[in-house]
Amino acid sequence: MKEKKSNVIGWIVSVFFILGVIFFTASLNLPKSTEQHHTDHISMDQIQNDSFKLESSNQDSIEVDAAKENETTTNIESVRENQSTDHNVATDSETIATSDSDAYQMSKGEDSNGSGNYNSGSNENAMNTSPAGMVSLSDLPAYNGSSYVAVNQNIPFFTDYDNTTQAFEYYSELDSLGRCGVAYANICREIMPTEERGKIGSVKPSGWQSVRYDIVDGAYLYNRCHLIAYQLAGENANERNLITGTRYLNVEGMLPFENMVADYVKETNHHVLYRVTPIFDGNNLLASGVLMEAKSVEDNGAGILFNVFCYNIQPGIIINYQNGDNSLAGNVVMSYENENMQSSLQAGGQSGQSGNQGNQQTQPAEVYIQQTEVQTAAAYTYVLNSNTKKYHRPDCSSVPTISPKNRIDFNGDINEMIRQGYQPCKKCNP
Amino acid sequence: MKLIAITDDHKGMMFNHRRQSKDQMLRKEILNLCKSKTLYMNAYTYSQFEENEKNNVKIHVAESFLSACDKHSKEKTEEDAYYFVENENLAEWLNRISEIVLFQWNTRYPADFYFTIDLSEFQLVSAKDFPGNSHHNITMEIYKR
Repeated sequence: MKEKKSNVIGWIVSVFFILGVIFFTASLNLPKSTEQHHTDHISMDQIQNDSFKLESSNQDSIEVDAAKENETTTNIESVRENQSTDHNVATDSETIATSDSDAYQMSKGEDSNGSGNYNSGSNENAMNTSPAGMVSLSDLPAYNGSSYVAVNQNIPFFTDYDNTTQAFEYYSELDSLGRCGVAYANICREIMPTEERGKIGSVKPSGWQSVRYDIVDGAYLYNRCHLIAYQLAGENANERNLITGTRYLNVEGMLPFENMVADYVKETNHHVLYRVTPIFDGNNLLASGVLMEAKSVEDNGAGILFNVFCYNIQPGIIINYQNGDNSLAGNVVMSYENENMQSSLQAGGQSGQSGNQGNQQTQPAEVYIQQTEVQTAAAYTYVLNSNTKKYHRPDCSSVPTISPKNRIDFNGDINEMIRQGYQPCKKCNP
Repeated sequence: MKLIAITDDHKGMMFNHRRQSKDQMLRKEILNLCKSKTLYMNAYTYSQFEENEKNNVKIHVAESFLSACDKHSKEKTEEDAYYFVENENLAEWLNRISEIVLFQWNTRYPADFYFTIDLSEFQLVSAKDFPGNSHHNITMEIYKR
């Protein structure tokens, strides 16, 4: 009986021992599981970057707010040009030029070169100055007619630390290739300009060429493209805020977002966290595009909230992103204003193989390509109705009914207008 | 049904479930227009009005205000009422619309929700420009069938 009792006690002790081992093992595994969860959302670049802190709780709160917003707009049946192409991306194959030595800048002051010099704030180590690694070009869709695509369901990668009503501006130092990095500011009345924009022609951003095409609005293919727009922060010839951007990127891609933020701040006197990151593929001198993030502070994103990638492309133009060389798409005959240019461009521009030396030779002069010599198979005359977004044959019975203010006589590649949302008339089936 | 809407240069109205822009002078213009009339809108649109702006105008806030419009139109009780629409699809109400008051920001904003009514079915009867609080120039056009 005594022996049986000791056996029972021994059995109970064994059971408790085994349970103890199981609980101990489980407790060891728990943090490992949590860590794995985080690495699913944060790239290795960010983990290795001491100054980058990602607070997922902030993103959660934004998503909740966005959901609330959705509740009030349940009947929206929007024409979403980007709805099917929202992206959650978290790889790190591209180069986002950043500098560890960059200082987070608060309280605008004087600067010897006029580009803005700022005193570092006390929380510079906490400020999330870069979404590096959050966006991968390989995960973004190729340009398909829309100047931008929504990223991360239009939720920016800001953190809790970013929420402040204190004015600041941050511009990365140029990297070893002379390229811009992240530009970040808290847009508010305090930093918005009060006078007309000054000259910025002295700045030659990486990949810069001065080249003109008739098919480009304003003729010039490339603009000195502000990362933080002048209308938002008043920066003039700040080389850390200017990239080589196509006219299309500048006007069709970035400007509408800049307008929206500027008008919101002017109307509300609120603050908008605003970050623009040029994204370069490898060592390319020309950015593939820019990531634009914004969130209004006082209303936690109810007024302004977006996260988009704008393409640095120009419809109808082929661009070599390694050095900015370019040519007209299709079968074209090129003419040059400066004959000295011809040899360098034939060596590089048309073949898309020119290196930096070729770029330097092309910078002082301008290339002009005559539109009349463009020969594309799709070129034809159409009548567009800017109101209905339909295009017609000139002899279509609907054409006389088009209001003069909506009528556009168009001669060229209709595919370009299709990309802008135009559809063929069902009557004349052009 | 008299419709009030605001668009940018590309007939955009909303982006990412948010209005493209707002302006207190434009709201003042709307409220002046609707004096002694009923102004319908949903809660999202109502949220942009300040408390002190709502005097002297009978504002009716309802999420299904367009459906209410349908009912009232049949009963011919709210012919003169205005319906301020920012984020509702208007195409199905086209036949009910007798007048459109269209404000234009005269600038470009991003958009993923658009004004889809074909204005060629309406006649422009008046137009004027006025300065906004945060917008250089806002256009107000009135179209009637």
